[in-house]
Amino acid sequence: MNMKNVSIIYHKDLREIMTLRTVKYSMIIFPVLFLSILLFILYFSYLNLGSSSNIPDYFNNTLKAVPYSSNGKIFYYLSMNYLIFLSIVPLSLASTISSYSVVGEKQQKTIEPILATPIDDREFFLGKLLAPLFPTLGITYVVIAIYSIFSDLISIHFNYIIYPNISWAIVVFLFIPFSTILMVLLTLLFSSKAVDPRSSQQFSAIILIPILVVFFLSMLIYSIESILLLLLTAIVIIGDFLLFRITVKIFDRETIVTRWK
Amino acid sequence: MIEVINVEKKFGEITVLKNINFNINKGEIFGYLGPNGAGKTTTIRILTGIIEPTSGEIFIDRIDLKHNKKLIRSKSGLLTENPGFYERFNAIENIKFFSKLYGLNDNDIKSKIEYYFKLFNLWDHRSIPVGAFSKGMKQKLSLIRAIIHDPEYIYLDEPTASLDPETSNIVKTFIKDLKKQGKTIFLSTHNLFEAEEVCDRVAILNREIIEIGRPDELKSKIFGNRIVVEFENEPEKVKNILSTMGINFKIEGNKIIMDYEKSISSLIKNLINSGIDVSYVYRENHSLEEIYLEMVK
Repeated sequence: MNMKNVSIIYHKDLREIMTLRTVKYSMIIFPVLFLSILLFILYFSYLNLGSSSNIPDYFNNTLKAVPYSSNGKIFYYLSMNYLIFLSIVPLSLASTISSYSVVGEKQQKTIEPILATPIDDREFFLGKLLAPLFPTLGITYVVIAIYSIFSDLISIHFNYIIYPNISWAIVVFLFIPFSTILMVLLTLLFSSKAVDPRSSQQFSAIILIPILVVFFLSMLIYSIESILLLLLTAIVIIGDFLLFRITVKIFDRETIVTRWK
Repeated sequence: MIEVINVEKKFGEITVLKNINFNINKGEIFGYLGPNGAGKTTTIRILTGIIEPTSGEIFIDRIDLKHNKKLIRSKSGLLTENPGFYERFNAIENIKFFSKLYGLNDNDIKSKIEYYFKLFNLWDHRSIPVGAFSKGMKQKLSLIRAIIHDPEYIYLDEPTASLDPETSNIVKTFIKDLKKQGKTIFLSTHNLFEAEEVCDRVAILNREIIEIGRPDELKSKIFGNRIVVEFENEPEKVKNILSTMGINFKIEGNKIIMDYEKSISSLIKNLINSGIDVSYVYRENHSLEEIYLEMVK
């Protein structure tokens, strides 16, 4: 595989994405808005934490391994859950960016001239996969950094620093990147069938809903447990693997030229 | 040299090309004519390694296309039916992107862009987004993209379709110039006048090759090599003269239509000596369009 070709496709896509005002603004506005709301909720939750005697039993049971005061335990739990909730940011950004990357090629009829060059299908596919992935993860990590610092500043009041910890590392370095890859693959898959970016985004949003359901379920079963987070991540990685195999087939040049309309 | 041997292409159960056989010599302009859906674009996609044939073999410079697609694509330039550019990028950004995929370095790209953009009068428009380009400008840009990496084989899919006559003329002149540079050109077109004007040989296709040859060869093959003699008077006397000379002929109004024979000069002499006024003598001319219509009907 010629990584130079991958890089040419990647940089072209990135430049093209940045010429789209709607995408550019949604890459800024959505994360800022989402982060602001979460920070507000987190701070509001901190202000309204009750005394230790008011803590429900299930918090104490679930968080018995967490070596902090009762209020500290609740804050730890809330902050971890909101952190997982932040995975909405990369999922949404990945869906927006990647839906434009394939549909844009179709609308402008640029696929055939690309396939006439000495690029192979895997290089083209990899370029398309990485172009939405890197900026999405870049923005997400900035958002997570701000969120983590904010959480730490609050947790100082409970005499501990909440981040980094093992669960945080699993979410940030495993769960978020692999679920973003899953979203990009899904959107690439749908955009090969779609005629405009909106419909491919809508399709991938349909897939996003079950992911959210899994998230809420994970909250219910107290997914702050590292093992459960690892298990969730493993499911996502298996999904990545299966979807990668399907999507690679769709990026076969004959399919692209004859069926992508 | 391009050698196409028994190529067949199926999409599912539908056969779009069957039993395709032809050779294209180096430095030749080869016309590929056929109605919509005849398989012209599919043939180009196969020859440029974009898609694979269902069966058959293709050799380009004796290199098997099947196992050397990347190499063959680097030696080929393609002008697609739809220009296909990134509309928000300017002309230079577009050509730079494709040139990089062809493996050109930055210095080469810079100098070639300047040369070709000036040649095609696009230099002053180089910083304008391609979305604002006219169809003719896009087609010129598409031609630049097809040749920027100096390919040996150039595939042109309807290069002058819906272009104004001036731009169409520029493109045709450029195709002839490419031939002078020794390039081999595969020209798929609906425009039969264009094919006749620029092609050394043509193939007429309708899912399979119906006829192949030089335009003049095809003309004599389909319509024969006929001479028309126009006269002014006495048709009965003309008939008698022709009958006594033993010539196969037919008379339509004041025209004698006959197969070319060496005796044409003695016929003219006889007609004049018999007091027939001969006004015109000419070879019956058929356009490639007539041949095409005859073939595909």
